[in-house]
Amino acid sequence: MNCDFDNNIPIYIQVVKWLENEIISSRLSPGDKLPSVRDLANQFQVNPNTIQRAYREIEQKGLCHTRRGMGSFVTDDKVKIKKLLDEFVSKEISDFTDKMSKMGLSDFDIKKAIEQYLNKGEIND
Amino acid sequence: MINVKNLNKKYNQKTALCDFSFEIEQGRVLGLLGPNGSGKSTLMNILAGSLKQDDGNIYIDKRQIGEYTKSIVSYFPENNNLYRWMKVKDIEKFYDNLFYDFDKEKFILMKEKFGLKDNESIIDLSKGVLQKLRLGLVLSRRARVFLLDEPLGGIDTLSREQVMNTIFDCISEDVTIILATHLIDEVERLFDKVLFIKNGKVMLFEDCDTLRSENGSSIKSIYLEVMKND
Repeated sequence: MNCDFDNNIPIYIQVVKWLENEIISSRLSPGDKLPSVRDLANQFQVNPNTIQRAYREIEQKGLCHTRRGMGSFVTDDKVKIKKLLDEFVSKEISDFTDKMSKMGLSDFDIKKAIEQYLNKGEIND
Repeated sequence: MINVKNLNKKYNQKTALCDFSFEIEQGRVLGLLGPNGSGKSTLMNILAGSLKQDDGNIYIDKRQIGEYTKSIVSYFPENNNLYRWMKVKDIEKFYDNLFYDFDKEKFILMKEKFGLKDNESIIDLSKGVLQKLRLGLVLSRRARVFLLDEPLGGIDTLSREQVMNTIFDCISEDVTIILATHLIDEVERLFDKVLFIKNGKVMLFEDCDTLRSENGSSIKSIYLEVMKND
């Protein structure tokens, strides 16, 4: 992935977000080895210390663990990953509904609009 | 790794650096940002050992500036420091003789990357190509400290990424880098910390991501803001 970082937001936080998204979307599965700090730094063209900081952050969140001399691995704890997904979903939905409410839509209008969209769209199940 | 305490330097009556202090750990990349004439190059020159301070202490790897620090510091001055009559191959030999840590193999790769030919004379090189040659030489040393004064000066937009990558490849936990530049937005992601300098004084010295989170803006915007005041 070619990451377009925003210089206005701490870079390490953007790296944390990116890693979380990789884990939520299962592009990085439980137990997978994370890319090395160096590789990720090269890929994103950011300072390796920044990547290191992001790794420390997700390790503190319990999303990965480091094995000495072997690198970092995504947690096997599926509950934790599910929780991360739930957080992601509720954050996205709350951002979305906030925006809609500000435009004057009621909860009912929002629900209706989503239903209509999903029914019309290809994501129809 | 680099410890500067109460540094003062005057040229005749003009103050170049005034009670200047900062400290940077090994493995870090410091961005030295300031307008023209703010004292950046004076500081670099003093750290490189080519200029003496009036007073104050400097320690690099816990040693005062001298033979030892010069042996571990690789310096890219802002202006050309190469003999114009030399050819690329002469300057390569010169560096190889002068610095025990000169990595010839690495330099050969640099020459290839930057399209430098052994028999080209320095006097015939365009400004951009000369910059690349000088940077190639400086970065081919297995030094522990790199002082890079405007390494992107005179480099066109197309080559900038290539030069940036070359600098980027030098970042490691064993290496400490101080990089002075005017192209803040292009380089700011490489920095751990930034030091804003104006009229020879430290205006701000802080971790980049801390600055971004406290201000919600880029290093460049913060720089413009800080420098506008006062």
